[in-house]
Amino acid sequence: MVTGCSPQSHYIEDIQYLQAMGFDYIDGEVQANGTTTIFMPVAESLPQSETINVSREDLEDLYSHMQAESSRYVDTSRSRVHLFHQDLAANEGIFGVIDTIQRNPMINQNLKIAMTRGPTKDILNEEYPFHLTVHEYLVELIELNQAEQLPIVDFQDFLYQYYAEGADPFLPLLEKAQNRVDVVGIALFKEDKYIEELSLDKTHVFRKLIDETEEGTINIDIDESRGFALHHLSSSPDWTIKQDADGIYVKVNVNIQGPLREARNINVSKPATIQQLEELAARDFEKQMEEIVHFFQENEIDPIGIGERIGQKVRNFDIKRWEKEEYPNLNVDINVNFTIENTGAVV
Amino acid sequence: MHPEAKVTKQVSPFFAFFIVTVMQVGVGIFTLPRTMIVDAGHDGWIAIVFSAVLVSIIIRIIYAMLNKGDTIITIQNKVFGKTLGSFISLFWVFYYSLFVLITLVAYVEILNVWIFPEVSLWVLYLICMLLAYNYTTSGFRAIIGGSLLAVLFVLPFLFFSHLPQGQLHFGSLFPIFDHSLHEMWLSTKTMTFQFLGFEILLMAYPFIKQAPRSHKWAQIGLVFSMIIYLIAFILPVIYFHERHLLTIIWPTLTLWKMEYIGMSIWLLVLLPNMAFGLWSASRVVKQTFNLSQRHSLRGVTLVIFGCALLFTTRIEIQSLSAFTNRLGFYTIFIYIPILFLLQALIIKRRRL
Repeated sequence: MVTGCSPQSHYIEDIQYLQAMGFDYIDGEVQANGTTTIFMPVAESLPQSETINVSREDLEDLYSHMQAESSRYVDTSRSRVHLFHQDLAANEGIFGVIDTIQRNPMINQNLKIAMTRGPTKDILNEEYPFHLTVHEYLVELIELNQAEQLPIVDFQDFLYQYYAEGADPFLPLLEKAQNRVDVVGIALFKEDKYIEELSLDKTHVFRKLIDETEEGTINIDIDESRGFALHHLSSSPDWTIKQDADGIYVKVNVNIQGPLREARNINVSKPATIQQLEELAARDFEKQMEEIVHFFQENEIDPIGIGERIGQKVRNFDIKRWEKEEYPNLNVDINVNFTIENTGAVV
Repeated sequence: MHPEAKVTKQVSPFFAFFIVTVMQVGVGIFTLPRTMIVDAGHDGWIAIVFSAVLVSIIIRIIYAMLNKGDTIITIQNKVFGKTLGSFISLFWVFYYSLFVLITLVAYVEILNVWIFPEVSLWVLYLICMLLAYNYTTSGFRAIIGGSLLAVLFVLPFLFFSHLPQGQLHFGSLFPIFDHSLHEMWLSTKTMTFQFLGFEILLMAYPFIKQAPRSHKWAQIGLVFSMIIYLIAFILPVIYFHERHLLTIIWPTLTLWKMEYIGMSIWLLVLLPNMAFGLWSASRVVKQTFNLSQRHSLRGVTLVIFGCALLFTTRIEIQSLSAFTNRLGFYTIFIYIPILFLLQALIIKRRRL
């Protein structure tokens, strides 16, 4: 009787862990691919990978169909990465899949998600040098790039921006190259549908508007022969929102500082030159940031979450109406303070 | 007529702290952020504080009342006379049992959804009820001991939550007081359900040494639960978006890093909680009808277990908790003050 009441037990050697999932959109049908890991009972043997593909229209019985493809128990609790094909994101939207994940308490919610240009199947089926499994490779790729150049966004952030009225979600955009995967920028969403993309260079600037960052590189050309580059840039944005009789005034102060690592044909020993360079870099950033904000306004998306920020400052604020009527013509006052901390180990 | 509690069965005044804390921080903490956000939104924390102030006043009234009586039963007998008093005492048996029932049902539902989807509900009900029954038979002091362990060892687990830097939106708490007074009042009403449970004092009073001195500790217990509730409310609010939070049934669990362990360990908080309820219910039966407490305890446990079997779906459980919420609210904020006034009147008239 006791065994009859106890829950099912599974042995680790018998479990196939579903660790990376990809969702493709082929001929109008959603197709799901899962990469699984099997821990072998042999000592000192490496875990092995296998990819299962199932095509299902409705996602609810996706997992049972995954099970049908495997003789081992397929366990979903350890999934780490979910990828979405661009076509799926553009045509159907990805919230259907996202909702299935958040509804299931057996799935770890600490997930990375990303959008891919090509079919996710190609990415998940590939073997990557120096990496044991595909999911490890993808997680490390996304995490490292988020430290270096992508805005930090995972499963929870996507949900936050999806539910927020005054913000729109974005995801890292990946593309398959030979035997590696490249990060090519971010994919911008309206609700859960893919709208536009932002190139990696612009993403770099964009994240300085929303996150406090510690790492990053910037290269500025003055003319053909002269230019300079800075590494380990740290930055912090400071948004000010004021409401007066004329309407709502939005301003952002971005402080960026970092050491100079490369100076081509510039004498950086003089403080006056450094000041000029700082000024130059600040203007360059301001111009780029303004371009990005305009780009968002043209597409009527708000990945920065300006509406959300205003909603937190202004009482009884109708975000929906504001996003529709006033956001496209909003004037955002961008001000960058740039500090070059030092010029490296040589004068 | 009431049996004076023996000194060997009494506990020190400061244990009132553990009684109040363990009774208040029950299973409701898991749903708290969502239920609070329905009306008052991100201003829910104001409702929590306001609700705590109201409950603090009620605890003061209860102590003022008990200092002149002994338990709610003797007070009711004095005020309403023996027959009507005994009849109203039946209500308290129902009331205490209802709180055990709602704790049991709500906890088992979480276990069923999160950990044991394959196990049928009655098995979980049976295990919980057997444990709670065993706890209760060991006596009042054993339950107090259990609640001490629960407060010291289990509540700190709540701090193992996801707190990723950069994902906490402190701005979500602003603008402060962005909701109407009516919405605030609705949330305050919802919140009182979370603070209920301290009514155990109405029966436990004679078991506390120098009981009037324990008033201070009961109030400190209330402040402690309020702080725990504030943390449990604010964390999800700054982590999830408000509209997202509305769709999550147990936000505290979703945010918890150790939800599986934590949820199992939470049984240690709920056992003294349910045991206090069972103890009080059976104690009322004993004092009113002169039945042995052991027999009445068995009866009450069986009835609660039987009732629990009737609740299987989410909607049933929700309507049960809504009913408990309303009943508790009116009992505490309307019946208790009226009883207090009547008692004061009667004492005055006798003196004249």
